[in-house]
Amino acid sequence: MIMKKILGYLILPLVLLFSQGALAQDDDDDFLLDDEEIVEPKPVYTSEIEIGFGWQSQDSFKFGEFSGLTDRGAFIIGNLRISRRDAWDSGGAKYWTLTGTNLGLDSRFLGFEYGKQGKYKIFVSYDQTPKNLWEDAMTPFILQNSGTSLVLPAGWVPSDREVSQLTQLNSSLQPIQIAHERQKFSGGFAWNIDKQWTFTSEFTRETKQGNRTIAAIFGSSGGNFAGMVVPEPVDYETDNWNISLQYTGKKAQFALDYNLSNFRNNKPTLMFQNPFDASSYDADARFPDSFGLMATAPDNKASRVTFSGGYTFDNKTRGTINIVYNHSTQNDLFLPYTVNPNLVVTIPLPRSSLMGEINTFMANIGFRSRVGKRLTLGFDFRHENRDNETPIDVFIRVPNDSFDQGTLDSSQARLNIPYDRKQNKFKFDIGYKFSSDVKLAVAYIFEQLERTYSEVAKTKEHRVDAKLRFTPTTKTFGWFGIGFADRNGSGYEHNALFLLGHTPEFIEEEGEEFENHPLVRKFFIADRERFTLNGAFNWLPNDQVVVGLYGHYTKDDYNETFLGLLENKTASGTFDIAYTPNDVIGYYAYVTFESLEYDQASYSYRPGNPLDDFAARLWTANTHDKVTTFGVGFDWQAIKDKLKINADFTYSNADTEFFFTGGTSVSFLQIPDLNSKLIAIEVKFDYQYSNNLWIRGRYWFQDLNLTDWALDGVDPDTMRRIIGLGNQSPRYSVHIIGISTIYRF
Amino acid sequence: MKTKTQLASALVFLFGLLMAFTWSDGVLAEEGDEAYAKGGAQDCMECHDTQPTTLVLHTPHAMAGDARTPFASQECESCHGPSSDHMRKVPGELIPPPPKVVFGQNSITPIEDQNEVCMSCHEGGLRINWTGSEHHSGDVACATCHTVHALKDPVLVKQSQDEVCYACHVEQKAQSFRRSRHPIKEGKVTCSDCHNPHGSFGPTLLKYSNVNETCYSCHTEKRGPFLWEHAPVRDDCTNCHTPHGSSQPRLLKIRTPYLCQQCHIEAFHPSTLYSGDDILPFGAGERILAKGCLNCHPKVHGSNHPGGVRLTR
Repeated sequence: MIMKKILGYLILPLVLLFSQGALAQDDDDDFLLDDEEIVEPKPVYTSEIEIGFGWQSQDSFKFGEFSGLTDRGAFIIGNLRISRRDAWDSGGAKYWTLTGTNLGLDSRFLGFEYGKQGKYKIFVSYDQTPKNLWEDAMTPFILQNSGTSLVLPAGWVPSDREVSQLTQLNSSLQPIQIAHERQKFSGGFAWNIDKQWTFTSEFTRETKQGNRTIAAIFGSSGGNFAGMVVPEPVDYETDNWNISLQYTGKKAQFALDYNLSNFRNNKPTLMFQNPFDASSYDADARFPDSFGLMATAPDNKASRVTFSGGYTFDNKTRGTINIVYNHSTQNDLFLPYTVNPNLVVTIPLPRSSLMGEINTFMANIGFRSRVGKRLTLGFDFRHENRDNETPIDVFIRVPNDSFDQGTLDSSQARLNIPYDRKQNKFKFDIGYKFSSDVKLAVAYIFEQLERTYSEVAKTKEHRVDAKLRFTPTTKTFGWFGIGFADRNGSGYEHNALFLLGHTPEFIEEEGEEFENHPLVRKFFIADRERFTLNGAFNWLPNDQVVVGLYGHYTKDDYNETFLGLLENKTASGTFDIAYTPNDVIGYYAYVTFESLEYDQASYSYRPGNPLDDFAARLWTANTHDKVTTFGVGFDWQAIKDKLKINADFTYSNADTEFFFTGGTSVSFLQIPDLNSKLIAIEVKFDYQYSNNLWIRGRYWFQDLNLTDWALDGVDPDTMRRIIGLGNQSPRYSVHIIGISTIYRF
Repeated sequence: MKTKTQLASALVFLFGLLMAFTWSDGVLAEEGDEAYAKGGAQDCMECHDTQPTTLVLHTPHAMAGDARTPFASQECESCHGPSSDHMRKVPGELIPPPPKVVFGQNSITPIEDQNEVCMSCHEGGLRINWTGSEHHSGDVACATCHTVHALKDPVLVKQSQDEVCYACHVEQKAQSFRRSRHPIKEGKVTCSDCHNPHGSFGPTLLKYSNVNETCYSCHTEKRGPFLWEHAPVRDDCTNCHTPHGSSQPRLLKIRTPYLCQQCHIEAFHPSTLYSGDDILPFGAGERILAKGCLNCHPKVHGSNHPGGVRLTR
């Protein structure tokens, strides 16, 4: 009975909507009012409840990646916003708000806030966000202990590292969905101590549960590996507590914050059975008794104290300061070198846990002053010291639970490297107003980065940016910017990390001097020249049309790099137009072109002389993303104050092109493009059925077509040494319709 | 011990700063004695009696019981300035002169004057570093992004904030349609979760002090520290990732193996060119298909296994 009433409530207005055309037309005549006629003000509804249902035409994990709209069939539409506050002139200041969105979906949010404005407020909320990864994955493993232990089915027949010879693989495959979900509970309060002082405290607990994919391998090197991609359980919890004291005065303002973040992983290991019987591995590291054990994300904590302040000396000069101290720790117990009890481990762990600690201190100071009516001067200084105090020790590896432990003079003996970083940055900027229509801003920035454990101990970058803003006519305005930056290092010690990460015994024994090729220059520390151009131009030919043009171009030239990333260019251009002929309808359209291009060089080599047969073994790769996005839409008040319709159409096409060159000793074939094409249509109407009852209809169409050679046709047994999950490129063509009623009050 | 000393020193220093700031704050500026409407908001609503203008009465700005709000003093004119002239009919003119302050990007009131009105109350908190910030120096009016005469300012609503930002940042809008993205369209991640549009102390208007701290605010599992760290990861997440949307999986700038091979050119497989003969139908290379390099080296963000130096465990 109740259900019938609800359905009646939902459907009746829909039927009436289409029978109301004439009435609506009549209503239109009411707008031809005499100027002197008194119009009753429209009531203000501050609250609304929306309820309805929708229908989805097709299952699609990817379409519902974050929304939860994954399954074909019906779903509930539920949104609400209930708000009450004391009348503005009542002298009271109490209010409360209850907000809910997507209540019928896995992406729901519910929040409540109550307070007396200017005195206090309390708030709580719940937020849920799915993350769908793969709906079509398959694995031969049986998940035990809540997915932390992966074992093979009875009757499994191993192979000697050849996936194609795993005779039971295909018959053992079980479907598994790869997805996880975040749930966030928040609560807190704010207390306005007086007009200037506010104290706030907020606590959040976020859980992330489900699974993701991870590789699990055996073997000791790229020459003898074998493994599989498997589901990794995700069971994370993060507590976040923030307290803040704020002062807001006319001249001075500051905020003192303390934040504590505590991350816990409830499933800190993943154990997996070895599906192979590799003759090259230790005899005790083969199917069926051999397992591998992986450390998943370790628990960690971070506490941060932040002080930010600003002071206006007079109306022309202002100074700001920001100081941050961040203390991050991680001290999870180490797993044993191996879970395989039959492998020989002679040298124990140097310590039982990481005792990891990173202390970051940062200070920013800024001054800005207006000198006269035309000139503005600014200065900023930034210092950041990321000090990684994690102890350094020698760890002698048991290679992937497959061989006995190495020795102190082997490549398996390695020292951990706690990377540090220190940054000092100065910025001077000058702004000059030539007239009210033309302004020029020029900035000089100097940045110095020091890294304790790095191929480059110190980099210095000088950068100059200029930006011209102009308003040539009352109908046009825009800006144009240009920048140049030059980064140079103190010298590239190509084997610095190799020497730091290996034991002196190994280096002496083997006489090796490097791992990475001596001519490589890692792009994030390499010498670089950067050139940027950007600009925007807006034109308002009349009161109804706005035209915009935007563009940017950046070129990074790693001018001292011979092997590695040589050049990176990004460019984009956008044209958009909005046309609003009257207050009833407005149209918009935009088109964006983007280009991202990377040029890199490498040298295919074997140990020995790193310059042997160089020209013949040299190869280059050019990767080029070209993306076009086009959108058009309108917002139409079809019947004044009664019926509003809006529609959006979006088309996005992204191609990734590759182009390789290689010397005579490099074997290669050009590779097909990758493509991703999305078409989206969204149409929505809102119809006012009665004073406080609206009907909302929605049609949504999305079509995604991906072509990706890394996934398409790649079955679990396709790769030679790795058992895959068989997940394919997502493709879908989903229609959604929704109808709901909105009650406003 | 060293950490405790550092922490204690930092707290003492911050306390000193706090006291200095509070002590040095000037007396609140007094409003000049200009001509305000005698009837306050009621006078304004003699004419401005329709929505959305009147919606302001249902917002936090209009709460006479809260001494901080505009409606606790001069009501509409607290923001629009003393505008009694605006209420007088001017002989020979069809429309009266405008109020002292009119808000909007293309308003007759200079943007600097408009923003000064807003900042006279809102310069604290997230807006401490507004002066000299990108949007300030770019002459963006507060009213370009904020709608005060609305029941709920769209830029403060998670589901609608992106459209406000995309009105200017169209490139980022286009990137939001890529195969790999953050849940911005769904209102689960907002632009302001990462950025502080009012001026920040971090790069690119980031809310936190640097790129990594910003990413760790959601991706806490990647914070570490780890036993085996990956230098570019600890350095800056954007060495490999692009946050607004990517045509490659996992928000990568370019896909593996080519991304990894921009730094790793070691003997054997790291320096080998993986190309068309490694994909179907010509080949089935495990270093280019599926997860590429991550088919064997999954712990690219750091490993805490004592044998994880090669980021495999």
